[in-house]
Amino acid sequence: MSAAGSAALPADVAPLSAAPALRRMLGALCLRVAGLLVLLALWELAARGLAGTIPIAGQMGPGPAFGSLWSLLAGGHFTADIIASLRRVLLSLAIALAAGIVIGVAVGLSRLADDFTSGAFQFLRMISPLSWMPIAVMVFGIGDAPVYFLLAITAVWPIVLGTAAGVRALDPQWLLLVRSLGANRREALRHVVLPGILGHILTGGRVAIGMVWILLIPCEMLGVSSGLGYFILDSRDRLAWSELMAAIVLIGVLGLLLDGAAQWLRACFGATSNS
Amino acid sequence: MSVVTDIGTGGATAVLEARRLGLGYRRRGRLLREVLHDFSLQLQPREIIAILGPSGVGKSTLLRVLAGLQPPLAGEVETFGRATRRPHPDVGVVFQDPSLLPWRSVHDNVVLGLGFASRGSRHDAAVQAARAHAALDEVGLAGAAGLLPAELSGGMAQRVSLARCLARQPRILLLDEPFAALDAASRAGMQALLRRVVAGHGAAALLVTHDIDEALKLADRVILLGGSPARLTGSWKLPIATDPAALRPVSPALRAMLLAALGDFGTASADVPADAAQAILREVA
Ligand SMILES: Nc1ncnc2c1ncn2[C@@H]1O[C@H](COP(=O)(O)OP(=O)(O)OP(=O)(O)O)[C@@H](O)[C@H]1O
Ligand SMILES: [Mg+2]
Repeated sequence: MSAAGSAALPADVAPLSAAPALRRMLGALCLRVAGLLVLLALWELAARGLAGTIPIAGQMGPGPAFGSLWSLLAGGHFTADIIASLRRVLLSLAIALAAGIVIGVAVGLSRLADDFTSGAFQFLRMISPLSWMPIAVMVFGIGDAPVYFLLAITAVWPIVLGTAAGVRALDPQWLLLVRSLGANRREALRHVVLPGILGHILTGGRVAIGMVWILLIPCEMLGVSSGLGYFILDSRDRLAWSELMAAIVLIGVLGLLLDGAAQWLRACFGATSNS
Repeated sequence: MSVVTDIGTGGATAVLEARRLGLGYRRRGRLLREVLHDFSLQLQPREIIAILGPSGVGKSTLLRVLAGLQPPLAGEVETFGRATRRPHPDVGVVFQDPSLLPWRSVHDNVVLGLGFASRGSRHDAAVQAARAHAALDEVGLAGAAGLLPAELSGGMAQRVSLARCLARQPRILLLDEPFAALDAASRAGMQALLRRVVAGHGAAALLVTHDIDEALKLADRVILLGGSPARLTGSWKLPIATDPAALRPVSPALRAMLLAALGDFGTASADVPADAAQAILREVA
């Protein structure tokens, strides 16, 4: 956010702050890399330490893991699973956005709707979506459908809450303004309400992506035969320990990328909409 | 689109008329607060009326009602001879709060007012951009077109809001303390601009202000709101200006009288004896 803000400052302000800001960013980057290196070192140490008592731990260190990761990626063996996992995430996110924005706008606009639903929503929000798993399988059968359901109900709450907060934060003066400029209801919705709440929706969406990504892996461990969660169970059954660790690394990296993408969207479209 | 075509001739038809307005706020059908009683007003073409009154008397409420943004409790408003039910495309409002959309650049905020379907004439994007640029130039902010509202000072934001209104070339301007946040120099510039717009395009303006000097420099008529319950407590016609595009010199006597009348607020009545005002006006003329 601060980066987006400083980029648009008048030209005469920029040179003053550019050098220290750049130095601070470089410093932060170095620290981040150092932190990751320490994590790698700890992982290596743990693998070596455990190798004495658990022989397979030797195959689970960073060396074999990255070796497998490279050969799996290069051989294209991960491609189908990555696509399957990302498709599940994006599709269920789309379902959650469609439902969550509608519910959120209603809740944000009407005190009555808010009071009526808040107890129920808080209650539902606190139930781990995984507890629905048996019911989801019973209702939707085995396959992709229950996974979509579980992921969508995970993602819908942060989006509902974000949208409702965005609607409540809308300045009534903005609506008065566009009416005075001759906007009809549709134009007011398009030019004020939607852009005004976009930042909040994207914030909710970012939280939702994080939650969905975390929940995806256990969801893919039931009844489906593709995806990174499935790959973990499969490599365990094949006793391919280094591939299992490679999948874990990949899950972390993809999660980081997804979160980065969400953050980038938020910075591009939502950063100024609720300041 | 029929009634007032002779706006430039300065005919006797009022462009904006309020008849026995009662203003206030309702919540869930019940009356929450009454703001202004029995208020009548006629705004003639090429006329500037300044509205003075203490904080909370209902000046902003009055402008919103006259703009068709809020219904009155009683009475009626007519714009160009027709009952006002919704905002009229030829009426421009400058709100007390600059009301810039924070996610749009200064230029895009000004363009916003030019593209809505209800505007009789829709211009293509290039014409809109040119008009927005010209309006920003007039308020001295052509160089700030690319900035975001968060990067503006209070006075700059207010001038953008004025430019957004002027770009639409309204025939009636409803201005709610539009120069309050400006420094003396740019305030004088904007006052002169308003006078030029009114004289040049034959527009009429209602100007809410807390600044007596501003009212006397700009207005053809000054009205005072006050008392409790709040109502119109005084209305003075100023001498006809020799140059309609220029600011008037401020008469110290008139200034002193308005100051006295304003200082009287909070008491039951702030009426200034009509003959006293007349005497001063004669003296000024
Ligand atoms: N949306 C609203 N709901 C209820 N009451 C309101 C609302 N807006 C304004 N009021 C009340 O109406 C009265 C007049 O407000 P208004 O803003 O019109 O005053 P004003 O003359 O413009 O004051 P100022 O000079 O401070 O701008 C005030 O008592 C205010 O509390
Ligand atoms: Mg006001």
